[in-house]
Amino acid sequence: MLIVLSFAVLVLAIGVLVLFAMMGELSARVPQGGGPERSTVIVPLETERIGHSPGHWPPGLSHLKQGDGCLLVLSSSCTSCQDVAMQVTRNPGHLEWQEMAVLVSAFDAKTGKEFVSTHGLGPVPHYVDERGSWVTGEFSIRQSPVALTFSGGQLMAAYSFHDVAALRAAISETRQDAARQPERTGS
Amino acid sequence: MGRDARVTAAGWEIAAVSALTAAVLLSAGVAKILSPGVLMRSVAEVFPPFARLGPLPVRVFGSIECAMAISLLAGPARVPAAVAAAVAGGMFAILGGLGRARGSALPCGCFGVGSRRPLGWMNVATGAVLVLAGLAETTARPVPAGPYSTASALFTAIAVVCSGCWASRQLIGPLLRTRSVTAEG
Repeated sequence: MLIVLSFAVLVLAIGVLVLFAMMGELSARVPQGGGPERSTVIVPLETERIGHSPGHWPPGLSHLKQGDGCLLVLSSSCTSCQDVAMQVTRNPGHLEWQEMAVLVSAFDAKTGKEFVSTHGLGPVPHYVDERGSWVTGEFSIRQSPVALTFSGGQLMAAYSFHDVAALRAAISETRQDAARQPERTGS
Repeated sequence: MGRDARVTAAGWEIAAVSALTAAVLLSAGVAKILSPGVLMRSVAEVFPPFARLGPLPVRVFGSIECAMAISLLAGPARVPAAVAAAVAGGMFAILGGLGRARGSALPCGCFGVGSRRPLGWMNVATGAVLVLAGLAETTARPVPAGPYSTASALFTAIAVVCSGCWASRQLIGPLLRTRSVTAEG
């Protein structure tokens, strides 16, 4: 009897542990207060390239051809982009974001690689775009930081952003709205 | 529980060692199952081919850790589970050493999203403790299964809740602070 009771207590304790783990996961996914002041406003960018599928995908980004993906376009010379890179690498919740990839636009490959290594972006799928030639040629994107969302390799939207958690929330909301749309039209 | 099945002082010590080992394995295992991406990326940082495998191996390893923890508390499976825990400890230590040698910078995520230290000496130390605990378990005299399991399961429950509170202290702290409330009609 005692042994059954003690294992029942253990099961409850494991339940508490799971709740703690889920709480940590949840807090990593929502914007946090008390940190450095940064805008959580997400501005959709109007570009005529919505729906465009690139002719070729650079190495490191080819997984964006399938499923949902989000490409963060950063520049080695912009301060906001350094802040975004730090948000990505310092917040484990963002590192868990499987669909994320990073494009670093830099004057040359050496500068881009330095940006990647300085901010610990190595394990995140990434590509150093010299002078931003690929992202400008394919999507006419000339500013940073910008997030490009893809579905099956097609550009779905482009956003100007500063806060990664707010960006994720906006993307998630947009996808939920898009999923509800056929239901509404069908009913 | 028969009268002859009393736990000696050494038996209590072994139950405590098992409980602490099981608590470490359970905390790490649950974290790996629920948040595999952080550890996957930190391992990929020191061993790049690992990134291709995705989060599944991390989840599988987390499940194995949980199974090891539960087996450690069941009397008959105690010694084999202790050997497995020692082997896992050796792997953690090697991974920590690799992280240290290769200058890992990403958060480890070994105990969930709250583990912000990169792979390094802390993992070496945790691994070494698990190896020593495994050695202590395997060299200890047999203990009566019933009382051992009862005591070690209760100790593990306490240790798991305490370690969960400690790991989540940054989340719990703000919730405990009282805020002044103004009564308005």
